Amino acid sequence: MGAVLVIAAKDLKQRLRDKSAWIVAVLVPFGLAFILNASIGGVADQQLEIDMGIVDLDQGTLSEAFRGVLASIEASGLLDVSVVDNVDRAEQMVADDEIGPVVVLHEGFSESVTQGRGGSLRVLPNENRPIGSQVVEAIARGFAAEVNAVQLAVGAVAASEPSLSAAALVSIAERAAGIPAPIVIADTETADDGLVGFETFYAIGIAVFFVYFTIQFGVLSLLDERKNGTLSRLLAAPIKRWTIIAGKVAAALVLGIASMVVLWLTTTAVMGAQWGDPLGVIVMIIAGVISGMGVTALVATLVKTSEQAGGWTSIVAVVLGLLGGTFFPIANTSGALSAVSLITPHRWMMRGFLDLAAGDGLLDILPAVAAVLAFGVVTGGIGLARSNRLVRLQ
Amino acid sequence: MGDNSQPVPVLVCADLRRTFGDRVAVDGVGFHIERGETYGLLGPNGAGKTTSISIIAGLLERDAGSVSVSGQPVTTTTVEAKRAVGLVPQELAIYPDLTAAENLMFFGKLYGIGSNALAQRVDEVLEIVGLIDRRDDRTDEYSGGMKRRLNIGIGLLHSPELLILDEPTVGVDPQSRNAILTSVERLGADGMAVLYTTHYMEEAERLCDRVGIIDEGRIVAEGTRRELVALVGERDRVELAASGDLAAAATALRGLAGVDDATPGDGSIQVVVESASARLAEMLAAAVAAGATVTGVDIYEPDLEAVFLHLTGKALRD
Repeated sequence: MGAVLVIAAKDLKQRLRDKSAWIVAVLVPFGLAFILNASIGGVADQQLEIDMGIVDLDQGTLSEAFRGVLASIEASGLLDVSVVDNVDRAEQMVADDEIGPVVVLHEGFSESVTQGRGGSLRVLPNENRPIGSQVVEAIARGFAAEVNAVQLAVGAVAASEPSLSAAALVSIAERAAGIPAPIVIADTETADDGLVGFETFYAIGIAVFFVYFTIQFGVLSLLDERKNGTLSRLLAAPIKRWTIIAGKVAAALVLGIASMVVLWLTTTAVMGAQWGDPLGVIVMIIAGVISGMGVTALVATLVKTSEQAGGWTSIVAVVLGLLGGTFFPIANTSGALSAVSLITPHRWMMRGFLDLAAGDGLLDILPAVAAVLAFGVVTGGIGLARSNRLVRLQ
Repeated sequence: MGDNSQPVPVLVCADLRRTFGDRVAVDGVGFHIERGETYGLLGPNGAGKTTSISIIAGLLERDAGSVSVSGQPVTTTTVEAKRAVGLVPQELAIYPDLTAAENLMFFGKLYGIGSNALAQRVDEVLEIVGLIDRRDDRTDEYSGGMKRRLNIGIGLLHSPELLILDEPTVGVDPQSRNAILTSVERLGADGMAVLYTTHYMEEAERLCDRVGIIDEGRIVAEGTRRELVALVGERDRVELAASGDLAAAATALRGLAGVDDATPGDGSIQVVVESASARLAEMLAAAVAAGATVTGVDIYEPDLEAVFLHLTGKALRD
């Protein structure tokens, strides 16, 4: 055990004196997280206000209801609704980019719909304002769906009770409109990627992304020992060969954990990131570092030189990091990409950390912890089984 | 009743064999070293010196043979026996981002030297290798010679019974080289057993009580300098720089009285002869008569280089 600590202490001393280790472990990740938060996060945090228009040629009950819907959204600050007199003027204003998207309610729209002949809401999109156009189109679709639901309910009642008066049907329609939708589309990814601020997302993502690079310094130093000739001295010393590997592993563990803890504390203090339950964060950090050590150790046993190992572990770290959603919430992407990301430890680390940031506790993230540890145990186990080749001269 | 007056060798190795693929690197190497004795393994690059000492130091698995140091067997997995061995590898084996003292402290701890004793021993070793004034400087600021001296110092740190030095003067300036050789002489005089590999004949002659001449993985001769030189019959070696029909010239030279051997080479003829100076005129005449044009003559007194040439038919530097 003494030799393990002696080797680990020596390695840590070397790393502390290595400026590049500081840069990779702390400065670059923190700087990158800070910049991403300041740029992308800053843009996203700005209040989105959609400047839209409405051409109401209908002036009926449904157009009044639709304008009421827009007014309520306008009150929240998302929309700024202007009334435009006619379609030609609206088309011209959109073409000149004087206004965002415009909704047109044609004459007789309400009457046509209520009498069962159907009708249509027309949206004039502004190609220069794609987000606003999509939002307004979504509002229109939502309104149409609501009307369709009410009409379906009233139709069903009228079919079963032909004797009902028109006044009674109107009353039923009003009541149907007031009933909350029985089925809603829930947030499909709940807390995985979505419920934390940009500062937290990027603080976590960058820390997870860079921890594999930090761990490299510890694991790959064994190959450096061979390259620098000092491995022969270690092999000649009166110590078991496994203690050499154990010393390197211990140094990598300390280095990885220290790097993530520093990023955790600094991003919390400087950027206002919210990492959540400290106990859960610590457990997740340890699991993540172990997974990184396992993957890096496996790669190290598959190559011959420290240069090759550095290159390959960097490639692995980048691919796993990107696939794992450290830079963007990959859980919200298409099914295939999201499914592929589940084979990366980074995705599970992100899930665990983001769940903690969203308010979950240690028990809630245990599945993610188990998945991350599984990566470390499997890859590290293979690496350990092959590690003899790292502690021999030829 | 055993004979207790016989000294117990510090190192005994026998029938060492190691192959790398189809290549036989070490083929039956065996020798022993007594306490206070400096033993030289003399041979050209690639002769099997480094592989032999890597097996002896427990760095490299052997295919066959045995090694023991102070009566304890040495393998790659043994621990205790390695405490008795100090290794100075051929390539520098120091951490450039640590100071000399930190390098020594690290390896001292691996050898289990206690803290107080280690601090004192570190300074003693730095005195021995002449680096006490630079003890707290990072070694990447050292000259090549200083690094070599520290490389030796680390091997000495735990006061081993057997010190193995693998070509410690390669790439060293003359001043540092002399300092290293003086240190090794002192260690032998102080009772340490030293195994010294080199391809420099003059180092082996200066330092070693006994020399094993190794070539192509085998020890082809072993003994004191006097014993080895006797193998070539105390003859002088003459190198005739020549052109023309060198084979015919060599044949003619071999027919002269006092000439033991004449070997044509690339642009020269190597001649082993008794009393070279007295027979030089006769030799030149015979070579010219046989069709050679002699352009230069060098006469060498009997030495290990001559022994190596005699035994292997090639020069140490080849």
